[in-house]
Amino acid sequence: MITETVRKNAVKVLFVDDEFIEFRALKKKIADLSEPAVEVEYSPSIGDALEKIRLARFDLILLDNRLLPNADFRETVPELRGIGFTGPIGVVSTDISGGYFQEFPDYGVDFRIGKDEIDAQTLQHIIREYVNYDVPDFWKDDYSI
Amino acid sequence: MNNAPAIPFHAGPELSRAINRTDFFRLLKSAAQHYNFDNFALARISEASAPFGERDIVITNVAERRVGLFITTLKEALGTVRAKSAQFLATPVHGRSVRPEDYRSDLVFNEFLSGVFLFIPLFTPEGRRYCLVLSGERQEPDQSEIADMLLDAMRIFDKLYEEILTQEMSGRLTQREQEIVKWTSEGKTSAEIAIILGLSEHTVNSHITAAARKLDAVNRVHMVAIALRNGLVT
Repeated sequence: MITETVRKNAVKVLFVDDEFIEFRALKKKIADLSEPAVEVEYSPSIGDALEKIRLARFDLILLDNRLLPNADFRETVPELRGIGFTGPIGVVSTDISGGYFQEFPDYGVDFRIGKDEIDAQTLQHIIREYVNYDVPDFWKDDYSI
Repeated sequence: MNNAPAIPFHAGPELSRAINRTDFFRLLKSAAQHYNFDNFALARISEASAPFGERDIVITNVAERRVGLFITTLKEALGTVRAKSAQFLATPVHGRSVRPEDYRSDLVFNEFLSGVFLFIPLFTPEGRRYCLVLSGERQEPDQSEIADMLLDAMRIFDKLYEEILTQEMSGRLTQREQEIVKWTSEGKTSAEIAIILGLSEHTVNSHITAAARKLDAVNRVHMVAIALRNGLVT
């Protein structure tokens, strides 16, 4: 038996990027996305993102690979995981061709994607894959059964 | 001046870098767009509900609620005989869905109607059958375009087989799966394991699902029991 997640509220996405214009571009690109409803919040730095995660629940984090001063996902994602965030994290970058990107699963990253590849369809896929995914009942934490 | 045509995204270096399902979504989306198709679905061929049912879809950009309609329209476009004999097809087939005479567009909106469907059969080396279906409002593809699409689809599927399908079929647990089975055997939940290992709950659940499948277990407790019995965890 499959239990389907029935989502009543909008999917909450935290977009972390040191350039606000990227956030505006993202909002514009996903404006058509109505199913599921998505609420995107913006963080200009990893410090601000950590604060926001402590205060509110987010279903998904889209994280710019390079954040000031010079950190890439190998430093920033372990920080997010370190405070107990167990939701999906996607690394977004203009250029994802660097060899170190192949190691993304080892750093707690769920997926990587080019900035120009994000649109309503792709975000819909990401939400379906990482946020609203089904777990069969018998694979859940069923120690109490 | 270099007049060589640019290599499309789905056939370039990103193909060799693909390692997870989202990477393959990106490749397939790019391939569909390159050939002017709007939608794609990679699916396992099903004998029971030919050519495939909603649960057989591996990766698609069709919205969840539209998948049923997508499959119904595909069957109409291919014709009943070809749709039902999909498991025996070895070469691509295509067709255009036709608007039925009694169709009332105000009753059911179907964005796939009047579109071209291309069905590309794909095979694993063990003979398991999959297919890539592309659909969109465009002209019917000619033979040379179909040949190009077939080659691209085969290259992407070959990589998907190497990175994901062989992993699923292999009976051996990866190091990460062993680690997660070990923590499960100590009574930890997915959320707790995610915090311990610095991963997402989604990743932990994926590893547990893969380990359970490899060990032929019916649930987590059974998976731990098998792992203990086989000495995979101590």
